[in-house]
Amino acid sequence: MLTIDKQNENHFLLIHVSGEADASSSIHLDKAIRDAMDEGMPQILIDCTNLNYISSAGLGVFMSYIEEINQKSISFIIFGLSEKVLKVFGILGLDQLLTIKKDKEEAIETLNAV
Amino acid sequence: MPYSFNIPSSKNQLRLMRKYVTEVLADHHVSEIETNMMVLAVDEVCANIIIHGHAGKDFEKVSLSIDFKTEGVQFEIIDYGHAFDIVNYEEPIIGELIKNKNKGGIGIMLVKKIMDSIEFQSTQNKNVLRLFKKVTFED
Amino acid sequence: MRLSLVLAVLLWLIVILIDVLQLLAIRSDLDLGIRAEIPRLIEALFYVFIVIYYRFKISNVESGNFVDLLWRVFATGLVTTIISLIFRLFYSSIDGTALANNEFLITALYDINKALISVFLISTFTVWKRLILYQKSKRLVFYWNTFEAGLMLSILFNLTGYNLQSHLWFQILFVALGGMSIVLSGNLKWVAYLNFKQKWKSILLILLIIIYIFYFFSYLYTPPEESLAFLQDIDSLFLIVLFTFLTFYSIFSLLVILFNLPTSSVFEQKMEEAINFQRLSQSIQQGENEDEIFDVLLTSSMSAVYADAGWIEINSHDKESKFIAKHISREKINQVKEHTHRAKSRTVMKNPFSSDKDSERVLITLKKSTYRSVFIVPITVKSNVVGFMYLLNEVTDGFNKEMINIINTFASQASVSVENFRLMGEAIENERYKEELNIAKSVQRALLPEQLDHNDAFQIHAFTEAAAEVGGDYYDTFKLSDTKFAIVIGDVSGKGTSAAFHMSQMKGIFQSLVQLDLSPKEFLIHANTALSKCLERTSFITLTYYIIDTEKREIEYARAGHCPTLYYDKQKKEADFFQNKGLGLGIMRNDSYKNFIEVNKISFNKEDILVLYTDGISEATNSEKDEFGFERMKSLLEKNAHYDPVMIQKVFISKLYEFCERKDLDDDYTIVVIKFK
Repeated sequence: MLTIDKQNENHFLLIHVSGEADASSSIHLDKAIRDAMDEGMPQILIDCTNLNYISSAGLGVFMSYIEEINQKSISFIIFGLSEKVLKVFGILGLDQLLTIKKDKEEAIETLNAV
Repeated sequence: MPYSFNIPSSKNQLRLMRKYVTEVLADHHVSEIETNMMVLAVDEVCANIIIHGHAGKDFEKVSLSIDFKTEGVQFEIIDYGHAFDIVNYEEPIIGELIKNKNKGGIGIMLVKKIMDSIEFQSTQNKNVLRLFKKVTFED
Repeated sequence: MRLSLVLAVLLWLIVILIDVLQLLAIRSDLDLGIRAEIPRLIEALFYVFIVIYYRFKISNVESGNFVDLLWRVFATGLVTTIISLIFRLFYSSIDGTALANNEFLITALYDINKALISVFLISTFTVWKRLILYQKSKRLVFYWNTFEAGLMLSILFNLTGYNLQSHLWFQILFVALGGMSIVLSGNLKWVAYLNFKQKWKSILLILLIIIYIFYFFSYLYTPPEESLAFLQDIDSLFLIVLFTFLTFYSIFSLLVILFNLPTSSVFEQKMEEAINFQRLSQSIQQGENEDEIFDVLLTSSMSAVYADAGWIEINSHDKESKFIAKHISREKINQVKEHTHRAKSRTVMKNPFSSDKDSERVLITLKKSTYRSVFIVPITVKSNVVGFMYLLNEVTDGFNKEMINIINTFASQASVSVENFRLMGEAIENERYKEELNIAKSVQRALLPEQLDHNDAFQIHAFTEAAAEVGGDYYDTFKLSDTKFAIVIGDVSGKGTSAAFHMSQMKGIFQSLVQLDLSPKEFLIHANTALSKCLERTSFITLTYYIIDTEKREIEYARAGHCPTLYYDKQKKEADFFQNKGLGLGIMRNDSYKNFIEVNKISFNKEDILVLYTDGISEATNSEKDEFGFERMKSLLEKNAHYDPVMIQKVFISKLYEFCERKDLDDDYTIVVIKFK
């Protein structure tokens, strides 16, 4: 089960992802990010504080946006990953290609620094 | 003695399998991070079988058994669909996947990176996959 | 058109002939058997042709040029009068002689005169029509058409031979058409479009035209030596209605113009303002520059408020203020400015759109100065005050509220024009620059290889990004044989178009030298010689040249001042830089260059990695001015050595962006990753 909740903050879009992003549910995550990209949101934050599990399908969603994020110079920041989920990002080195921050404060700090 | 579990071949049911594996491993004092890694590997294999091996049919069951050895854990996954040889599967280049904005193609890569040894046997229409992961059990 | 004129003349000649013949017949008591209707019919046809002729003739005249139209009428009248006067003169000169009593001559002269007069009347009629129908409404056109149709029919009515004095029908029709002509005479819109001078001209011309009309009327209908009171039989309804109409309209016009004379200057003023306003808004389209726009603004403003003098002062940050002055010297300007600063009587009008003190308009009354009133208007462009316009008047209270409003409108329009002018300039400049860069960029892209030569023994992946649209980073590959590959990476000093140009020279040199299968040392010597000849003095190229032999599993390379190569040794699980010496190409432009070349050879193993890059990566800095640096690159490669070249490149660039906290780096940057199998 995966719950996606979008929230417009002052100058960025915050997407809360909670539950398990597996082969059957990751499609919802993809749709949420796709929509945000299509709306031309320049700053997107992904809150994964309540994301308990991610499989290759969920990783694949993030992976597929790496190029677009770089090309369009979008600030795309993931934060709140639990240690076990972060380790999964690390298996293929995706943690190096995505901006991953500890918590919301750090994520916003990064936004403001740019 | 091995634990076994029948996985209904539907993507939506995978979470039950994950819960089962997590509980079994927790019983044997495997750390949360290692547990998650193994659950992920098994999840990827099962998802692969369900999606590719069975083409969506859910009448053929996938069975999983977990066997604890002194130096690690062995998972045996048996299915009756199309054979998919993970061992000899040529991995895509992850850089290329990113460049092409692919969403899939990394499941097997994960399994190979996580597991220490992978064996695959296919006889007639029965496929047996053995995954082994070295684990230091916590007391 | 000509044809109708010729026909009309011919017809009239026939009329004269018939008249003369009839006279002859009466004399000789002969009945020619010509009925009275025939000459009348011919006369009617004559009128019709003249009407047609003038219809075309007058419609060719440019509309709106009223004085010109009046002048035509006057000229026609003048010609007619002169001819008729000549006849009179001729007649009186032969007075008393037998010829004078010659009835044939009298009849002929009368007929000719009548023809000329009808020509005058019809031409005047056509002109009046143009005047009446100026700025016409649908109703007016309908009304006019009815009148004109009635008039045309009256030509036919002539055939009846009735006359005004004795026939009731004639009288009724005359009153009806006469009434219509009075109503039509109320349409005098054209008068409003005359300026003062034109009005005077028109009055004069119309006055003369009225005199003609009366003169002709009396000629036709008063018998010689009689007063106007005794009229001859008026037998042509057409002519009499024409007379009536022309007289009414002439008199009406005259009166209206007379009454309009005093107001015309105000009207003119308004017209001029409108035209000036248009000039201001159009000046941008005519490609005028800023100074010209300000000039138009000053001229229009001054004429709109009857200013005696004025100037525009444009301030610029780097240069001296610019002055555009009219009827005033620079000395005087400074004097007046001095006065204005000290003046006590000042009225300030706040700009409702800005709280800025600079954007206030000021009206000042001066005491001891040639100019008693000064009006200061700020000129704003993109809501910045760029200058001021000073308008001066020699009398006190020289500027009223209306004037101030007009000036404000002018000033804001001028601001818009200048703004547009500047924007357009910027846009053109920008476009041109972009276009140039785009060309340079596509040329440069074409210089970099699309496919990198390699075989199964290694994977290769390259990534490059230019800072200023075009860069001077260069890499290339060449397949020397199935197992031997030449690879080069280089960086031209400088950035932008010239760097890209030198890069293209480098490409040419590489592609020609590489085919000779030279050793790295030989390659650098030759490349240095070639570049020394074509590179400008201040430019140089750094470069590393590699030959990968996959059979011997060896890399031979030489460095010409380029960044040290990063190499990962899988067995040692360590990355390091190749620190051999070497000097950039084009720095030393003689034979001694070869002494600076050091050639190295290493053998590679499975999963060893070669990272070629330019200083855009190693020397990229963050906000604290720290460099990305060799250490960071080294550990990054060690940590990611298990990945494929594409992934390694991505990790490098991603970490680079993360380090710099931005993606638009100051320099071109290139990375080429080679991983051996």
